[in-house]
Amino acid sequence: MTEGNKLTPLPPEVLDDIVKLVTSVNEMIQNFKAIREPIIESSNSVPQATQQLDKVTEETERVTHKMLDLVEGLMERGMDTAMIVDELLASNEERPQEDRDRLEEIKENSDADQNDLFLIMDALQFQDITSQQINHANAILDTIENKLQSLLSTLGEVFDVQEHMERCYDPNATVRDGETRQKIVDNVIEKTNTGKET
Amino acid sequence: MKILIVEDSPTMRRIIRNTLKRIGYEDVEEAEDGVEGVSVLGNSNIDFIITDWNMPKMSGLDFIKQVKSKPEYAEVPVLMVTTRSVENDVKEALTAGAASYIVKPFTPQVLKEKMDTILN
Repeated sequence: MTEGNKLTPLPPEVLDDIVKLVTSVNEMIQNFKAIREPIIESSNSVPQATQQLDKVTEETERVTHKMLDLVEGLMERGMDTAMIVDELLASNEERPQEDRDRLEEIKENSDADQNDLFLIMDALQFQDITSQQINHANAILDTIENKLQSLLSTLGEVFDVQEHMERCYDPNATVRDGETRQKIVDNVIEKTNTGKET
Repeated sequence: MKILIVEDSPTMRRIIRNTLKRIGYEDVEEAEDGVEGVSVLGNSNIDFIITDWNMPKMSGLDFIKQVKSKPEYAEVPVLMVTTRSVENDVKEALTAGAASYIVKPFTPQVLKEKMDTILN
């Protein structure tokens, strides 16, 4: 402080406070420097995590389609077999009963195989549902990446902000309890329709 | 009868197509999202629509609203097939104009039952 041209000494308690403040600011700067690197590392590793998860979706989709190829092939062949057996049963009335029974048995087995193949195909719906679960996790990671980048910007870091892809998912998607959930939905439909009628 | 499947998952499109074939419907068109769905509607004579909810560009719910807002398609029945099973979602879809609602994962029996109810 000045009084004319003279410097007035600061009171010792104010000086103490200023020294404490400067020390504290220096510590803060050191702390920022210390956390900067881990934040940059975290910010860089988040896109790697999302890419890995997207790869999981791609791989499960690829393998699911391979399985669908096989299931569809087996279905076609099963239907061909059933058709041939039907033709044999219809074409030769004089076939011994034992042979007819065997043909009927082949047809029954073929029908059972068709049903099982459809159960396998139904189960492959898991791929769509798990990809939605992965998309949900990726959306959370995208948000974390944005927050980290925003924190880095406030620390003076300059970088290219990457646009995230649009992610579509149901946050509650699950492969479990499909039958129970359908019953709940059916009740809502019934109530809504009754409400419309009255 | 020509059926349009609007679904962003290639796996689900394929499963729904196969399931429809099993229950006797072979004439099927596909669209990856609501925007493409509207375009297919304009180019084909669609008699029945099966749509997902969560899709990019245009959601299934917005797609239903679009369909129902156009007099030329308003009478085409729409069946929602989605993982969403919260009561409010079901109500919202029905209010928008969905004729019925199926929860994924579904079985061919449920799809057949819903389609029969709507078409009869």
